[in-house]
Parts: sequence; C-alpha cells; structure tokens
Amino acid sequence: MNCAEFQKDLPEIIEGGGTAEQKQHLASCPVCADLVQDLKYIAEQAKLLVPMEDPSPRVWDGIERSLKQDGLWPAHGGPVNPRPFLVPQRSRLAWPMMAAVAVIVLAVFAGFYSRNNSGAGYTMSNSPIVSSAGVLEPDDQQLVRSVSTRGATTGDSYRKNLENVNAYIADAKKWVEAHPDDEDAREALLQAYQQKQLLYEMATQDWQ
Amino acid sequence: MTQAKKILAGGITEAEAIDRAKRGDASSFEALYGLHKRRVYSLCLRMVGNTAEAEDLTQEAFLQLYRKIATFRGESAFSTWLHRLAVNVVLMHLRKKGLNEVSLDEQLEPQQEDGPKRDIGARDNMLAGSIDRVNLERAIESLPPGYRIIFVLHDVEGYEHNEIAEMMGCSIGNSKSQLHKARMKLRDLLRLSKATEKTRH
Repeated sequence: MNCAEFQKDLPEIIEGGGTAEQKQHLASCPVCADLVQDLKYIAEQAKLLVPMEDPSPRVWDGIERSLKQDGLWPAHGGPVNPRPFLVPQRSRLAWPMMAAVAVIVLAVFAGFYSRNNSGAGYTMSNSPIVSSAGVLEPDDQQLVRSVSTRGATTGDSYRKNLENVNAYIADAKKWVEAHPDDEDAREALLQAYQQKQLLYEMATQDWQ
Repeated sequence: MTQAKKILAGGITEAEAIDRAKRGDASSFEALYGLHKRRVYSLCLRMVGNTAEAEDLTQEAFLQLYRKIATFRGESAFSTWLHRLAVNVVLMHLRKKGLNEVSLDEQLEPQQEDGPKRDIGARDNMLAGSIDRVNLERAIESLPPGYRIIFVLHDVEGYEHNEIAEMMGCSIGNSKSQLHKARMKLRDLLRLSKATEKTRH
C-alpha cells in the first residue's frame, strides 16, 4: 500500500482504525502517521472549545422589543395566569381563532397533499375564514419568490397561505393590544406565529 | 450538574423556570435566557462566522424558544432541545440565504480551489502541542461555510453523523466526507499560521 491509497481511505481509518494492511502502512510511514495524528489532534482540540463570549445586551433588548411588538410579552413581566399555557379556558375569541388556525393547518397540509399527489395546486382564495387580507412582509416576499422557482402554483399556494396567516396574526395582535391580560388571546397569537413558522419550515424542507 | 439542580437568579431551579416560562412567566424566560445565551450565541457565531449575524440568529432562536417552550416535554435535556432548536434556526437562515441560488448539497460543497491540499509523500511539521484556542477559533472562522458547519456540528458540538445528515438533509456519507475535508483544510490553515508565527520570531 502506498500513501495515496492510504490517504484515500483516511476518514474510515480515523473513525474505525483501519484494516491490517492500513495499520501496517501507518506504522511504517512517518508522513501518513503525522497526518493521522494531526487530524486526530484537531478533532480533540475542537472538543475542548468552550463558549467564551456572551452576546451583546442588544440581543436581549431585541427579544423583549420583538415580543412586546408581537403582543406576546406580559405587560407586568411576571406570570399573568397560573393556568397551564397549553390548556387555557377558552374565551369567546379563542375558539374561533383556534379553529381558524386549525383550518389553516389542515388547508396547508391538504394543499401539499393535493400538490404532491395530483400535481394540482391548492389555493385558499375562497376561504370563508379570512377576516382581512394579510400583507406579505419582506421575508415572506423573499420566501414566495424562492418557492416560485419550483413552479407558479407552489408560489401561489405559499403566497395565499402566508397572506392568510398574516391576517390572523394581525387580528390576534389587535385583540391582544386591546386586552393585554387575556391569556387566551396571547395563546392564539402565539399559535398563529407557530403556523407561520410551520409554513417557513415546510418551504425550506421542500426545498431540500 | 443536572438540569433540575441548576439554580437561577431568584433561587429557582432550571426545571421550575421552564415550568413557569411555559405558563408565560417573562422573568423565568429571562432567567433561562441568562443561563443559555452564551452557548447559543457561541454556536451561532461559530456556524456563521459573523458577529452581527450571530446576534440576529441568537435573538431569533430565543424568540422561537418563547413561542415553542410549551411544546418541551422533557424527553431530552432542555439544553439539548434548545441547542437543536438553535441549530435549526441557523440552518434555516442559511437555506433562506441560498434558496434561490443552489441546492443544499451544492451549497455545502465548497469549490475545488477551497478544498484541502494533499501533500502526499512530504513530511510536515506536526501540529501537536502547537494549537491554542484563539488560533483554532480563527482557523474555523476561515473555513468555507459548508466545511465550517459540519465541523462545528460534529467536532465542536458533538453531533453524530446521522443527526447531522438529518438536520442538513444530506447523506451520512456526505457528512463524513465534508468533515474529513474540513479537518484537512483546518490542518492547512493551522500549519500556515504556525509557519507565519515562526518566521515572525
């Protein structure tokens, strides 16, 4: 075995120790021995790297500001409601909102099921549950442009779903602003954001 | 130290802070931020190699944590769960950045000229004992993005190839091959830095 043959299989040799022939070459070749030792040394040193730096205070300020803007940060900082977050008592607003969000999720999945199985695109343009048209944010527009490269129907489907979920976010935000201590409204808003996140995740997973 | 025994500001344990944050307690969420910010920020910084971008991603990771903490069931350690969430935030950001241009594999595969140089047959100065943290951090920062991400996830953060393959949407073989190329490239960078230091003294 020569150095070229040995180095071709280096990842397996480093991971598993190598065959008898490779071990023999390693023992007799100082160049390959140095290389293997260096690579192992780099991996060992990397494991010793510990987090050293804190993020700037700007990061926390940004988190707090963003959560306040989104209506998700409790007005007085502490626990608003002792009830578990996932099993709230429903207000008059919460049930329609949750149902709407559930419909969006079903619609999104139905859309993708339909698209993946028949090639026909899903649209929500006639959905009765949308109270107002959602506006696409710059990031949304970028996402729509990106997915549109996979086909106009796909782009259209994402655009409409993003508009819908943005409309729900806008509605929920207004409700939270009007009723800052209403945990159900805040939960509905949180879930609307989660649906938007889901759309983004589906777009990037599809892209893989 | 186990998760349940970590004591945070205010004298509560991490487990208590998680429970309270699930119920929307802002001060408990802030305490969790204080406990985990350094690790999450370091991960982001090492993966993207840019302070401003790393800060934005740290912010995004904690915003997602706030929105998703109610779904944490305790099946893994909280730090592991949060870490995975942060990795996904960074990967999604990188995908979005390159969404229009190239596929993930192409994006991960550095150009040929970026690749490690093989110097078969020539004996080199060995690195053992010569790497310090600063040099290694700097060399990792200089890696092409595709190499850097795999190296950070595997060698620094301790993820297995199957986990990386799942997160990145690539094959296990691809992950192994990228890691090897990353280590080879790092070796070149570190040797170069060592040689530069030698000529300076």
